[in-house]
Amino acid sequence: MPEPAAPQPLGNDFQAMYRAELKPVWSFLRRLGAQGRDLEDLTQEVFLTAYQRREAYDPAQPIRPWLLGIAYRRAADHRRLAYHARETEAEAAPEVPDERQDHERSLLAKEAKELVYQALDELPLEKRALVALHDLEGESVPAIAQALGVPLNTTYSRLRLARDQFARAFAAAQERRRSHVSV
Amino acid sequence: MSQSELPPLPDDLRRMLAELPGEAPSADVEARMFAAIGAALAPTAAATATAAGAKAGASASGASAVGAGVAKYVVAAFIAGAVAGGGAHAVLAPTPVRVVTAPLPIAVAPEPAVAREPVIEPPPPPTAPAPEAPRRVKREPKVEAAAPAPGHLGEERRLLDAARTALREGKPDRALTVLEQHLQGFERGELAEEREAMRVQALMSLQRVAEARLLAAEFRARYPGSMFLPVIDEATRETK
Repeated sequence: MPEPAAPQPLGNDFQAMYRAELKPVWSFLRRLGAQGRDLEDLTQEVFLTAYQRREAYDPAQPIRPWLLGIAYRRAADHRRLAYHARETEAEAAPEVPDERQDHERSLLAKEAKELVYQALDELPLEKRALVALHDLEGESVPAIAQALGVPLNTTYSRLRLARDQFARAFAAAQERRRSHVSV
Repeated sequence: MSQSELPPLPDDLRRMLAELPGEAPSADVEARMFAAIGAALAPTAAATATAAGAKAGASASGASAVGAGVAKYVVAAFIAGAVAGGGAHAVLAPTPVRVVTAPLPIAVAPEPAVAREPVIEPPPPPTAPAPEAPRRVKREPKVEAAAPAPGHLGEERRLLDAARTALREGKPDRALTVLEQHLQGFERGELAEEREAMRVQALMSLQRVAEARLLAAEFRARYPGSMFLPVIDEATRETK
């Protein structure tokens, strides 16, 4: 009986994998707080690392959680993440396209982005990653546990705490916004 | 509540999450990353393939010969895709070089233990006349190019000295070009270790950080006792 087809085998189809997974990886790193050149560098590093470690990938598993696990670890190693931007004019530029795109988004989407990112910014990196993976990227808890190398029950516990903190931070951000608007 | 149950998020938060716009790189950024990854993988895969072939699986990187064969295919496809991809071609040529506003930790490699004669002659001309396209590393793996003929040490030294001079003068793009020339002619030459250390420095000074880190990781695996490790560590240390 033939083995079931691998979801996204690494190896001779790396290019297709890159094209399919670039946006999820980028999006996850952005939601972890990476911006500008850091976001670009980290995204590249994730795919380069994936290539280097391709023999460690289990093709029986979906590739996205594996990649996002790499992304989380790269971000955790990246001390600059979300704390400061490198001070060059060239590096300030990449934020501009995002802002341009924002003009075409609805006010609600802009508000959502502002509030959600404010709330995410209040979380330490691991909690932020858990919330981003589960509630923004839609990954299942077992997939998250595997991606982060954390036992399943521990993942549930930590995710519950992370979501609690996220909800509180969101409520606080909403409150700040309301008071700012009413002033 | 069982362990596997998660309470729902508040309604207003869920509504906001539903409205949250997706994040995606712009087409330019996507193309630039695509090209950079292809360029970073090219020398890696070629070196892996050659090393694995020569050492029959005893490579320090641990890549199997089969994996190396795949690597060549993958990288060829990757680079071809980068060239063919929308907008990628333009990015491949004059990739915008980042502005370096603070001196990077380019500790010039310490004087190697190998005795070397001071070479004053000017550096050789680069093989490629377009220094603004250093990311395009076009190099066929030379399976038989392993052992350089005796007497090549002087030429190797001359190239590395030229590269070092370029680094000292703040011309990392030129240094990289010369180092690539050494790589082409003396891939496993006697001074390959020193060359790789300088390549890391040159890439870092060009702020091609991802490539530099990848190369540095390979360097550490390949030369675990290298005298250049402090230089590698210094060069790739994250700036605060």
